[in-house]
This record gives sequence, structure tokens and C-alpha cells, in this order.
Amino acid sequence: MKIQICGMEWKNPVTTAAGTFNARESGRRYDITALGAVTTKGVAPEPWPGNPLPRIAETYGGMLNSVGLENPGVEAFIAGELAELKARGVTVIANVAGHSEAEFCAVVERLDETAVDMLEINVSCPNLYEGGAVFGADEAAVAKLTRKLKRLTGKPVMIKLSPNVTDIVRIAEAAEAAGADALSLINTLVGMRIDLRTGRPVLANGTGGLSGPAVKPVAVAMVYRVCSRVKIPVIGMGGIMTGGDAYEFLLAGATAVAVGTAALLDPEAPVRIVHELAECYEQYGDPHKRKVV
Amino acid sequence: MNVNIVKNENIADGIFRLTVSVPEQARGAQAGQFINLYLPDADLLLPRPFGITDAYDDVIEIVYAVIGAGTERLSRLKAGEVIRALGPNGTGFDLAAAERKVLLIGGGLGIPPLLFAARKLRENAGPEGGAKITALLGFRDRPYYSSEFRAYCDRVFVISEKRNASLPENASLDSTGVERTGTVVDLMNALVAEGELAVTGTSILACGPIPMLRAVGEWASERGIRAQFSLEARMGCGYGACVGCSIELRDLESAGAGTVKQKVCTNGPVFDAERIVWDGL
Repeated sequence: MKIQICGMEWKNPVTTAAGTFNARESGRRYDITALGAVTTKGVAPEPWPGNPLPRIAETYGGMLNSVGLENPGVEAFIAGELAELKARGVTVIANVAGHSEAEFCAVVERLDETAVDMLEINVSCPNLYEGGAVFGADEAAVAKLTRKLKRLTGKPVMIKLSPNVTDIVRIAEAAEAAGADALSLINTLVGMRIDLRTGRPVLANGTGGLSGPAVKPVAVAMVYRVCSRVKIPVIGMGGIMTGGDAYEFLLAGATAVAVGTAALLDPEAPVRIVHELAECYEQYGDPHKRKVV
Repeated sequence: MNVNIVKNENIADGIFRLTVSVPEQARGAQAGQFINLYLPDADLLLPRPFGITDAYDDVIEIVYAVIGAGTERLSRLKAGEVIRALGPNGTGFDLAAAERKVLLIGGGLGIPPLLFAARKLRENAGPEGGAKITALLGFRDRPYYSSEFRAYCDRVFVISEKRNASLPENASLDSTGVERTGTVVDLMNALVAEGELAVTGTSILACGPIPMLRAVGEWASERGIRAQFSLEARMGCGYGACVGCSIELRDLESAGAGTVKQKVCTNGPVFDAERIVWDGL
């Protein structure tokens, strides 16, 4: 199951999805070195408080979250979680958050000086602006940001794409043309639930991001379309619950996959999925040598 | 982990007590901690965090009300069925820090988890122990779990928001023999006024709805009493990964009005009342 991605070799194509992994808490529950890589929670130049509670709501086959990228800031991340992960020899993809080009640049510049292996640029969190608007919906803005970041760091830059756009392929192509080393997709879909009794949204933020098995077919379709149009590697994610789900993304053209919501429902899900994926490799062959027919 | 359901009893109107067999985990459980239960339905994906009501021998008990699809499904599980669980989770009450005189203050579904604290306090104090444990329990309607507290508490006071809801059980249980209508804070004030409750040298352990806890926190703060609260929050994972349940706490170490964000699931669910920033909860 070894893969080559952006000059790295991973022992398998499975990483965690940003915002669903905690080095200490996840590391207590399974051998995190058994994953191809881990992806850490979005980190901004300064601490962010995140959104008001409640931030979580259950939906059919999934969940909504409006955490809003609460994070302790890049310095606390470097001294804490990153140090802990690198001490354990884990390949680390750092998810980078920002409200503006300047904030993304500040984090990338700082992480460039660290042992982080890859940067995932979160231009697609739907919980920062009203109605779920995202920085990454504008292909010109994504291209400009990508070019800027590539000048600031020698580390691989991966742009995380939003499904809340008219045509994700246009954003993907803009990022590739601007020099992105990889793409990850999909971030969550904007969703909402309303309390029948009070008439108010269930989430304090109004809307949130939908994830979990409910979004998987949407994610597979988008990964398939993007992979058929770009040459850079894609990390596919969205509702992966089993090794078979992961294999489906690889068959759609993804180089690797990320496990998110499944890990919230079962802390050991990422490593279970690695084992199940190995069985799929045995049963169906190397998905990277196959394609959708 | 998979857990065996030992019992799932209907103990009052819409209220159930679930007993699950978890030998290893039961021994390490602390009062104030919670356990995640996962339902065997694809549409009920998220963990359900429940305060541990008691843990003894090989079992953990929780008490829950049927309030939504998840608890409705839970209420239909039968002895012998197996479900997935994770826990005990979080940081429980610091019982060692509690004074010799302890006030257990519970509201609604916050009441049953305090039973575990009551039993542990009684055991820690020993049979002769001078610990004075008083339970103040506030119900919305008919009391349902107050008799259990009598085994470990010196005095048990009960109040219900609904007039006459509490008879006949209340009349026989309340240490003053008075039937009371109102909230648990009304009860606290009434008992102080009646001279039934001396607060010096007392500490509080409480669990219940946020408005109740906030009022109890102010009450305790006015009297210089230390209070520990076990909080409830909507959680996405219940083990510290999703940051869905993060709240603002006063940073007592920093000078001034500094605050820090902490997760109810791992840093809590028990926090010192004086640290909790209530606005926004």
C-alpha cells in the first residue's frame, strides 16, 4: 500500500482529516505511526476562539459542525502537538487557517521553519463567514494565494477545496496552474438544522458543515471529476467509514484518502480502515493501477 | 469497546436506568465522569455522552430520560444486547478536595450522577467518618431518584417545580418533612432561612441544567464556598478530537481577566464553578 506523494513515501495512503485528530487523545487510543500521515487541526497565526455552542448537530447519516476553527495559534501548535508528533516520527500535514491572504502567509512562513512535512491550505471552511461563504470559492483568489504561498515555502502546498461551489474543477485547475503541489477534497457541505419547537437553528452559528457517510457519493463524484482533469495528486475525503469506502476514492483517482468523521464516532477508525483497505488491495488489486471504466 | 447490557429498567415516567457490564472500566470510574454510548443505528451516528450514576463490581450504571430519537432507541435495548461504548471519559469530581461537610446539589437529570459522588464520599469517610453529606435535589415534576440518596447522605431535601407533584414520596423523604415547590435554589435559600443549612466549612458538588448551576455558582460565590460543577455539552466525539464542546474558563493563574478555552469532554466535565464563564453557555 506504499505510495509516493509530493516527494514523500507513505507506508499507506491513509491520513486523518483536519479537525478530527488530536495527537494526545488519538495517540492514546491507537498506534498513530501506523497511518501514512496525520493531518492536524487548522491552525491560524494567533489563537482563535471558534464559534458559540452548540457547535454539533446530528443528521441522517452524518453530522453538522460549526466549530469555526478554534485553535491555539501556530506557536502553541509548534511547541505542543507538532513537537509531540515529530518525536514519534509521524509524517505531519499541517492544516493552515486564515481569514485573509496575509494570515495564511504568516502561518505558512512560520511552519516553513519547522519539521512539518506538508501544508494543507484550508481555503474552504464554511464556518467563518455568514452563510458558509468560503475564500476558496473564487478561483482567482485561490490562484493568487497559491502563488504567494509557493514563494514562501519549499514544503509541499496542498489546497483544500470546498464542495460549495458551482464547479470544483475550475478551482482545482486554477490551483494547479498556480503551482499547488496537491489538492485535498472535499471540505464539508454547508448544511442547517432547525429546531421544530423554537424555530431556531440547532447550531448557534446558524449553519455548519455536513460530514459523514451522507456526503460520500458527493465527494467521490468530485474527486473523480477533479482527478480526471488535474495531474497533481489528490487526497480524497468525505464520509469514509470503511476500507471499502477508502478504496472507492482511490479507484476514483485519489492518491491518498483522509478519515474524518469516522474517527469522531470511533477513535480507532483510521487504523481500522488501514487494515480493511489492505484486505481490499488483496481482493481487488492495487487501485492506483486501475481506473473507473 | 463492546458492552453487554445487563439491565435497562424503566424507573419512573420516561426515566430509565441502564446497567452495562464493563469489568475493567467500572473499577477505574470516578464520580462526575461520563461514558459514550453508540446506538446500533446508522442514522444515530454520534456518541451519546451520559453521566455515570454508579460504578460497582463489574458494571456501570447510567440514568437517562427519553427525550429524543437516541434515548428512545436506547430505551428499547434489552438485557443481553451488545452495544459499543467508550469511557469512562473526562475528569471527575475532586472528592479529596471536598470539605468534611458536602452539599450535593442536583437538578433534574443532573441528580442521578451525584449518587456516585455520595457513595464515594461516604466510603472515603469510613463508617465512623465525620463527613456530613447533605443532598438538595430539585425536580421538575415527581421525584424519582431521591430514595437512593438516603443510603449515603445524612440529610436529603427534595423540591419540585410542580405543586403536589412530589407527594407522597417527598413528604416522607425530606429531612424537614416539608413539601416544597420551586427550584433547588429556592430550596437552598429556604433552608438557610430556616436555619437548617449552615454553610461554613461546606463545599458543593453539583450537576444540573446551566441556569441552575449558574444560580448555585452565584450563591456559592457570595458565601465563599468552593463549588465543583459537572457540566453537560453537546459533543461530536466525547474524547477530545472535535473541539465541539469547548467552553471559556477564567485563567486563575494569569493576572487580570484572562480566559482559556477548555473541552468539556476531556478537561471537564467537572470544573471549578469560579472558573466558568457563564455568558455563552
